[in-house]
Amino acid sequence: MANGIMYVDNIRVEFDDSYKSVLEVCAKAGVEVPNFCFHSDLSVYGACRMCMVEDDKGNIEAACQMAPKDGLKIRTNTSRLLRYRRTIMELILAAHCRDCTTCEKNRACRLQDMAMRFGIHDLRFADTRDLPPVDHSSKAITVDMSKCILCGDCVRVCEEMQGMSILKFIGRGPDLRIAATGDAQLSETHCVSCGQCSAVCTTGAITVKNEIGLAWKALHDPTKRVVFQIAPAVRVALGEAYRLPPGENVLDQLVTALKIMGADEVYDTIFGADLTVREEGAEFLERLENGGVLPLMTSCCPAWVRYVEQERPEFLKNLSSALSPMQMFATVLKDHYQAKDAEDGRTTYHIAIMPCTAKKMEAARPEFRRFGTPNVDLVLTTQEVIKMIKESGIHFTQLEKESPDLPYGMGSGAAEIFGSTGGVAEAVVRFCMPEKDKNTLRMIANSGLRGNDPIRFATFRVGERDVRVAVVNGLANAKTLLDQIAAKEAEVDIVEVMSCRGGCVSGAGQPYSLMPDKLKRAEGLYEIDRSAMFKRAERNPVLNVMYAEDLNDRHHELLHHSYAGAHEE
Amino acid sequence: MAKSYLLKGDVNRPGRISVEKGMTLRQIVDELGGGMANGKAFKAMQIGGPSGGMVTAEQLDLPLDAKALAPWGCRRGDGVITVLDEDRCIVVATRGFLHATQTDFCGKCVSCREGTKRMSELMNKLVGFKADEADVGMMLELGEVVQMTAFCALGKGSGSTLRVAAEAFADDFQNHIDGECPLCAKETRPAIEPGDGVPYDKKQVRIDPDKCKGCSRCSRSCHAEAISGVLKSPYVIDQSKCVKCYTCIDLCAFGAIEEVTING
Repeated sequence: MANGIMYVDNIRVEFDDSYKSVLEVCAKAGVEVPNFCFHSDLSVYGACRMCMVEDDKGNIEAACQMAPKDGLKIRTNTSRLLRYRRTIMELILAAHCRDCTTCEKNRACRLQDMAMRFGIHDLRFADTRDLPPVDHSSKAITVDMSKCILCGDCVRVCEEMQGMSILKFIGRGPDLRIAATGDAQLSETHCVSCGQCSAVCTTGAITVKNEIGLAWKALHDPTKRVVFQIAPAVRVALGEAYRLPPGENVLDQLVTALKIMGADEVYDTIFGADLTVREEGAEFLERLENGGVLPLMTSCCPAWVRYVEQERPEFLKNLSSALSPMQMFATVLKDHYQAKDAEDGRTTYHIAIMPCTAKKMEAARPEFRRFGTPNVDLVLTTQEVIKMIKESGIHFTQLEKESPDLPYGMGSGAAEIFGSTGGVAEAVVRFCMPEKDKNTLRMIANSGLRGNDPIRFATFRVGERDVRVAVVNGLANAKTLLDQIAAKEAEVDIVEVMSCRGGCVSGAGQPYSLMPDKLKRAEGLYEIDRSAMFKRAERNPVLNVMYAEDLNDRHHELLHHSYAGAHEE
Repeated sequence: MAKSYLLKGDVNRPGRISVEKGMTLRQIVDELGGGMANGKAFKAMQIGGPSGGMVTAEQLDLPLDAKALAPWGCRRGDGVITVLDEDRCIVVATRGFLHATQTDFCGKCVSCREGTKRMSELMNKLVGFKADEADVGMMLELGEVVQMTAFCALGKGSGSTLRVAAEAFADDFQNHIDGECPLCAKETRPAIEPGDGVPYDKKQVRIDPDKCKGCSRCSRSCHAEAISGVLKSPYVIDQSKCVKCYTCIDLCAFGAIEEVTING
């Protein structure tokens, strides 16, 4: 319902309560007023001063900070405004590293994009800054503040969305800069590697750690058997780099592309996810039956695990000991390939393609090593794989489709939805519910587990008792839920936590996008689930054979790690 | 209601003064300041520090009032009034106020942070006789951009002093462009430093709860959204958010907001 009419450059636009600023009304009118520091998923900051607009009285104000008002008439492109914007743009560029061709964010940079719109070719000011060294210390992200334009998006995402406040503004006036708490290297802070700062960074100042070189090296090494696993969230986002709609499943094209680039075997992380569901589900039922520690909290998300370890160790005993799907997959793979490696004299090099920067940190954790190497040798993000495909010159959209290899290339629909908030919980509930009919599946789907609210609750009848499930996404919201649990305001039995808003589909390793597109990716995963051959982890035929062979005896050794136990030692 | 200012510069009696409403600038110099020092003639007066403005002898009969002096960009600002005599080079004096922006301003918004930095750099060039007409033009252009687009009143005011100085004392500017300034050549006194000598982090803007009526005017005008409260009860300033732009001090009808020096 419209509650007002505005005129933007003489275009009549209706607006309602969902429009918080004139900037958004301008967008509705078809005018994208230039800006850097406005991010629809975050609070309004008003620092870049690019979105200045002029009203009919000649007043100039920032559109992002201006509330829409009925009858307001604004112009977005008067001669004054254009002149001011050009000068501001020039000032920003003059205090920015302009080595675009060698920048990680080349052609994916909002500043570059804006510079192109303005067509500024001569700068009247020299760069007079003292440049801080590049921070390579984090396993997940690289920080080069010579490229920072101080828009503050990273500071706000770290504080508002993740509740971490690791990145902060330091100094004043011309010395203002952004640095990690205490001006330390990122690895020395409590940063959980969620990478959301890199996902919102306007420039190439904060980027995903680029490890493409290692991948090529392994692919070109004849002594290595390079085996890939691909996470669910990757397949519904990678196509965006080729102008395909978010949510479109490009798994089969990705398999073909990887084979062209030299992959020996390409598998699917959903196989690992099915393992996680079975192990975690069984762990939950066991805790429920024997009065173990509840609520059981998922441990699939490495940023969340790191958060609990550092900030809330009192909840370590709640964390499921079941490994994340990536680690489950890798452990089983490396275990099975010991014999194969010995046979043909090659070593298996395992690369996981993930939507996530924190997975790089998880892969490097010392407990996830066997036989002298990490279980996952390398984690590549969706972004990095896109770059490799582009470097190879592959026309991605014209590729033939190829399914992942067998036996580890198959999994359930329940595993596919792991990439969305609520997906892990839904998969575990499907496993735990004694009723296995279609209507039960529908009931679970409509129980409230799905959705985009920060914290959601649902209750299920499992045998003799009610099982209360909570789903939370965004670390700041997880903090809220933990406080509610500690205060006994929320009484739950299972808690699913994903550190990124929207779940893994919104991971920082994914192509740049905003919330509406991230939700479409999640929708894409649910679509895959709807047409999946089987919907429950316990129906996975390959796994059933493996459990029947020897996994039943060895699953504790291979597939579990007690975070609480590790901290007691 | 009388307002407290710090009077400094080339007057006989510099120091804390209390200015009654309606008092003219001439009265401030002659009566409160005891007239110009050493019998020299008045040249200019800077009101409000780095975010304030400058007036010449022509405006001396105007009252010290934000509205009356708005065309010259004068505001209460840091509460300092600086009087300059005929032998002061206005270019050097103006540089002082521009330099103060580099230590006193927060740096949050691009136009102010980068704009005042560049203005300050160019002003150094001009004082050192290395600038040309284009540089002065660029400074003025930057001043306009910052005035129109900055986030808060500090940035918006940062170009006013320069604007008036360049217009009213074009000769001083021309001398510096030409490479020879007679005023600088014979000047032996140190330049007047802006401000009251208290470092930025030792100042706080506070609301006196006894005087505050809870009208919310300060809160509504605060760009930094640092002031909160409930109508008809005293408001408070969140010091972590306050950028010390003094807008609220200028606006408060009850004189309830003041800048205080903190210890430690």
